[in-house]
Amino acid sequence: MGAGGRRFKSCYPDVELKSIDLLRVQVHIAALSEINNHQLLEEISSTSNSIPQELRDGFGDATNQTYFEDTTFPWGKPEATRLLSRIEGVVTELSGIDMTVTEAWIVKLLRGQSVMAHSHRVNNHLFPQDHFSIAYYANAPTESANLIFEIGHSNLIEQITSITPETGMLVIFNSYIRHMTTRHNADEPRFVVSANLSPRHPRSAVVPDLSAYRLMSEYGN
Amino acid sequence: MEIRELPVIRQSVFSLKLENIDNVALVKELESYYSNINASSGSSDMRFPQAGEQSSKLQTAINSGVNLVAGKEMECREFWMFSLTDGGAVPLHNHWTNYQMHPEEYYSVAYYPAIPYGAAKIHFVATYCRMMKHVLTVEPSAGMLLIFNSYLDHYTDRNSTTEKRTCISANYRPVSPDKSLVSDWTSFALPHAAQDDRFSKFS
Repeated sequence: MGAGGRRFKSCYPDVELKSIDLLRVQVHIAALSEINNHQLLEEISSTSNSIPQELRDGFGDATNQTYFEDTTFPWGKPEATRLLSRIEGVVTELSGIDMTVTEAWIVKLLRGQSVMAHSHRVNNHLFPQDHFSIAYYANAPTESANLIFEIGHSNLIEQITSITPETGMLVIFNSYIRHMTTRHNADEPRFVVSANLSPRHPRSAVVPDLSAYRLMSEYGN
Repeated sequence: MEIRELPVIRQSVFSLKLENIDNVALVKELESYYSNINASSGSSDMRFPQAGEQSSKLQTAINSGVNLVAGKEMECREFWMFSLTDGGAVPLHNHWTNYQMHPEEYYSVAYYPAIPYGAAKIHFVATYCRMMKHVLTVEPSAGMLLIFNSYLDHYTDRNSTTEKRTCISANYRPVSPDKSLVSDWTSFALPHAAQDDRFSKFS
C-alpha cells in the first residue's frame, strides 16, 4: 500500500488528472519450481499427524483457529526444511524485513471439504503489516478448492478475490487478511503447507509522537 | 524468481488542477451570491450560484472531470459550498446514501477556489480488513479539484487562518445507473410452478 501518484492520459486537454492511492492491498504469488513436491508429500504422509489434543486445548476459546482440520508439519525432514528456508527467503525479499517462520502446519482437503473463513492475526501483532502468512500447494489437482480472499473496506465495500491453486504455487499475504476456500471437487487430496512468518526483530516503537500530551508529572512539574 | 502482485483492494482519490477557471472572479461571484441553505439550522453550507458566469464555467469543468474519472456520463445532483473561518473544521462524514446500489459509481467532489496559508487540510480515512486504518492527507491548493467515491469518510483539521477557506462540494450520480444485481442468483430464485416443471410435484 502506498500513496504514490499516477497520471492519466486525459481526453480533456484542460484537465490534468492525478490518481492518489488511498488504499492498495495486494497478495503475492510465486512459483517454487525447485521444490520436489513428490518427496515433500512423502514426508508429509509419513510424519504428519493430527494436532495433539493437549495442543488443541491450549488454543482455548480461539474460535478463529481451524486447528481441527490441520495436521502437523514434518519438521526436520529434508524437503520440508528446504521449503521453509526458501519461503523465509522469498518473504524476506518481498517485505524487506528479516522474516522467520513461527508456525507451520499442513491442511489436507478431501473431496467435498473446504476451509472456513479465518485469518491468522493475533492481538500481539503490534505492526500487523509486518506479519505475513503463506499457502504453499504441495499438491493441487484439477478441480481443487480455490483460495478466496474476502476483504471489506470503507465500512461498505466487499471485495472477493479468488485464486485457483497450482502445484508448486506459493501465495503470500498479510496475516490479517481473511480467507477461506471453496469446496474441493477432486478425488485426489489437496495438500497445502500453511505457515506464519514474523519479523526476526519486530518493531516495538509507538508510531505517533504524542510526547507533547504526556502527563505533566513525567516532565517533573 | 518472478513474484506476481494480485491487487485485492485498490482505492484512489483523484486530483485535478483546473487551469481555465478565473478563481478571483469566481470568489467575487460566490460572495455576491451567498445564500444560506438553512439559516435556522445554523448550517454553514451555502447555495451554489449556478447561474453565475464563472460558477457555470466551473460546473462544466467539474462535470468533465467526473465523467473522466467515472468513465461514464454523470450528472450532478447536489451542489453547495461552505467556508471555514479561523478554528473551524469539518467533522468526519461521507456522502453515501442507501439509494446507491452500486456505490463505486457515485462520486463527490471538493473544489478550492482560494486557499490561504494555514488553511485546513482534508483527510480521507479508510478502514479495511476489520482492523486496519489508513489516512490520506491532502493539502488543498487554489484551483484543485478532488474527486472521490461518495462512500469515503473524510474530514478536515482546523482552519488556522483568519482568512476564509471556501470549498465547493457536489455529488454526482450516473445518468444511467447500474441497476443489475451483481451476483447471478437466478438458480436460487423462488420457484414459479407454472413456468418450471421441476416444481410441478409441489403443486
